[in-house]
Amino acid sequence: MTYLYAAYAAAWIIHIAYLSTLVSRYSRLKREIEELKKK
Amino acid sequence: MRRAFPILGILTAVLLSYALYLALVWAPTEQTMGDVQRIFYYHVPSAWTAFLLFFTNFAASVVYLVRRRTAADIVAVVSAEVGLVFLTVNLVTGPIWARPVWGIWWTWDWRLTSTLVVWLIYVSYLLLRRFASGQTPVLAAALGIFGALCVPFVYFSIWFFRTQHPQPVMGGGGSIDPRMLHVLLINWLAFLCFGFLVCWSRYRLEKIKREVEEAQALESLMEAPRSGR
Repeated sequence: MTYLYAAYAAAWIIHIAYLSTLVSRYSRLKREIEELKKK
Repeated sequence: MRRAFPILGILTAVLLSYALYLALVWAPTEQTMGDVQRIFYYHVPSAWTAFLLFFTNFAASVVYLVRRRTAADIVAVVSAEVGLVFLTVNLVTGPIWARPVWGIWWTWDWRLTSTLVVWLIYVSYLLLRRFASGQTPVLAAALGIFGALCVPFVYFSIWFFRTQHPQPVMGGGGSIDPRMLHVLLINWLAFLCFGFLVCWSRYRLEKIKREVEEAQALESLMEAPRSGR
């Protein structure tokens, strides 16, 4: 059972890690848009 | 369209939870391998979703090379990136299944090695997009076409060569319990919906990123005469 749970956990860790990179990229873009608006 | 996203998100979350329940509880336990066989319900749909996304990348790359449409280039980069995530899941869950069943984490057989090669091709595709300049979209489109052409080789490698990897469960003379097939297909549907939503978000992100880059380039062009150049 350990291998089974490890596999399912690994799958979701990979997906969540990727989604986190999308969120951080989006916040960086938002900051850049704010800076552009200020100029 | 903006209203559809949260609704689709909720439906996908429900479908993913239902698919997880089917995979871990409802599906019958395989007699030889036991519960570890249930890894198959994530391992196989991840590969199928990745391959579908790589074919999307192929189609978008061809469209970009023929018509030079920016939207096609965005679809190409998005499908390659999300496809790579799904293939990573496939490459990670495979060895976790192999260790208790084969007694080893990895073996250099045709299926495993060709999957790793395709994974490396799409890693190089994304590195090319990230770090190269100039004719990057054209070069990337060519690499994307090459990568997608390797995908059928991965799929059919277990038909043409003797490999340690199990034979296909659908087609090729394989057989599967109808309940297991049902769980497999529901999980694939859930992964497809999830993949579609991720691609949608990533598409919007890429579009905004390009618009910001254009605005920044325009801004620096307008600032150049002011600074006396």
